[in-house]
Amino acid sequence: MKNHKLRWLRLDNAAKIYPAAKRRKWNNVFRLSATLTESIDPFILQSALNVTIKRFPSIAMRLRRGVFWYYLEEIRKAPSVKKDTYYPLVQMPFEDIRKCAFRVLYYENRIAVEFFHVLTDGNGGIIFLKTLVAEYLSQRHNITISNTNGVFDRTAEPTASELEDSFLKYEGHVSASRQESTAYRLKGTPEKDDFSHLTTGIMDVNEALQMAKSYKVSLTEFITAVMIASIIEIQNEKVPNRKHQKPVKVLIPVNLRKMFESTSLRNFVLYITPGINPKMGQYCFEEIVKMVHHKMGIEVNDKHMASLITANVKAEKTLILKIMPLFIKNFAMKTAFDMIGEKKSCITLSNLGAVKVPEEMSPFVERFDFVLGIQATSPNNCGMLSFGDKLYINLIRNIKEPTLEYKFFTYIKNLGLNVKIESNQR
Amino acid sequence: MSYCVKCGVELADSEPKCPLCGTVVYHPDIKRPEGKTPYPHYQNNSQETINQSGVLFVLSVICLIPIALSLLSDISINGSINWAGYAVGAIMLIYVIVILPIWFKRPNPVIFSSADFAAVALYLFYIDFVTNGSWFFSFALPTVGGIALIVVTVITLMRYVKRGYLYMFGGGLIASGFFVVLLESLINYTFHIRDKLVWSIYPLVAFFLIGASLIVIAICKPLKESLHRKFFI
Repeated sequence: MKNHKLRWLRLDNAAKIYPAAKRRKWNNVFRLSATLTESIDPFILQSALNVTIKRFPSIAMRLRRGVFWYYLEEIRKAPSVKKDTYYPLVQMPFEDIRKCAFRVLYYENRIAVEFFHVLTDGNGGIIFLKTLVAEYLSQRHNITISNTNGVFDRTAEPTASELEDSFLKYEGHVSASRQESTAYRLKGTPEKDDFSHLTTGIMDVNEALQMAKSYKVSLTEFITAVMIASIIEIQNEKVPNRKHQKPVKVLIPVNLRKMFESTSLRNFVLYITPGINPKMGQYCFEEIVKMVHHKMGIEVNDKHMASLITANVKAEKTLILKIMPLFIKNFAMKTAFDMIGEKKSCITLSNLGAVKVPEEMSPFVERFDFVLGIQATSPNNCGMLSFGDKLYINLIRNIKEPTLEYKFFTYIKNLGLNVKIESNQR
Repeated sequence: MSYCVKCGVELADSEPKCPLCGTVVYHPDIKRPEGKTPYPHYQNNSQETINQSGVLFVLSVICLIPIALSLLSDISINGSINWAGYAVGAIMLIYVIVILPIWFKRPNPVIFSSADFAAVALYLFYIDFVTNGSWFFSFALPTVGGIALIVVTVITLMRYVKRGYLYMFGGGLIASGFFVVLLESLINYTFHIRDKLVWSIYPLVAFFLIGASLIVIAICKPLKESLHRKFFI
């Protein structure tokens, strides 16, 4: 057997916090899935995975511990595909991440990939999934699928730009302030067995776009405004005295690839947190939409994002942090994460946008789903994408009460959009 | 195609009840098609959880064993309850303080802290009675009562007022300072040690200064904010 040298990579700037922030029962993971029109053959899926991972050396990795930093090391062979469990994003133990930092699951017609966030973000992940599905369909039906719409040529060599840490490339000179007010925290009764409830709202994407257009905003801005309005309602019920209410903010990941012309398959997103402060008074929905729209207008641009990149990269380059042994660094980063990390927003709402596949794949693919793992201390999270004429909004929670789901989807319904609800309720 | 009669959202065929509000899906005339569930059916694979009542029962029995053994051996050796009374009292005191609140789902700290002090007072009364100490009413009862009054008041305020913690702790500390003076007076009076106050002045001054500082911080908002900025966690 040819003993080739295993590739290794430093963690990208955004990924550095994830291994340090891990908990006994929590890791930052997300899931992308494709539902096909026919049931999945696990043997073909395994064969497709064996081929696909060679094209994605930055994803086919395992996490390893260095003296000063964690790093990623190439895996020798693809992990075995496994049958899906009765809830998504089952805890990925750290011992597993040290063997392989992603897993491929199947259930009836669905192929799902769950990634530890050190590997990539949603945009890199969807390319991996689409390429895996393309390879699967090619092997199963003996068809040729063109390498378009985010499907990569499995026989080609990966390019250097795909493996780069783009944060380091686009570091600027001015750092933005990262100071933010603490946001309202959603709460509930935790599920004792760590069960995660997934509630999916399926909508007509054109109707939703039309509705967003009527408010003169993008779909992400519109859905964010609905989320904020729903959380405000929850806070009004739980904390009736406005003086004691906290800001309601939603964390929106921003894909930097288009802004900075990057083709990296690693993490290359930053976050903005549009929201309102209910202490200032009662906001109507139109006002919330405006606030979100203007906040995003001000912050989602290359200049502002570059200043955020600079602030993050500067922190990474601090000499004292660099020379700190990993166990001390972990302690410091975990403390910082616990104190600040998730306290600046109520929930993450990640929109992967419109997922497109090559024409040859379309007849075999029914839908895609994007599920974010719950946060370390916040019980809810939300991932969304659109495929074909449908918009899929996945709300996940690890608490018993579906308060946010109820508020959010009935709010959408009351605005005049039809929502179809699907869940993994037991 | 089914809709929730309460929320109005459309429900997938796999949903036996609305995932948002829990309303059961039902139509008297239409039989619902059986839809595929998006995830495999739930199987309870979790390890059997420990039954809390069972554990508490076992702990209660464990407490009963030394009680019974102490009483039996004391009676068989001395022919009456002698030293076993202290042991039994101590075990029962530990039981009231540690195990009794666990029997309740949401133990009210106001009730249980009061009960704890009552149990302590009762135990001391027993010791005083058995030893003919005659120090219970002049020393132990006012001491336990004073501590109970301060602690239970602070706990009650924290539980029901839920704001102004600095005032509560400040007031509690000042009261504790004066209580120490009372304590020394009670010691002097009961055990005839000396006629004047000697050591209690020092804790009184310390408690008073710390308590007053907390109240000043609570009153002076700019100072409070500045300290919060420096010491936030």
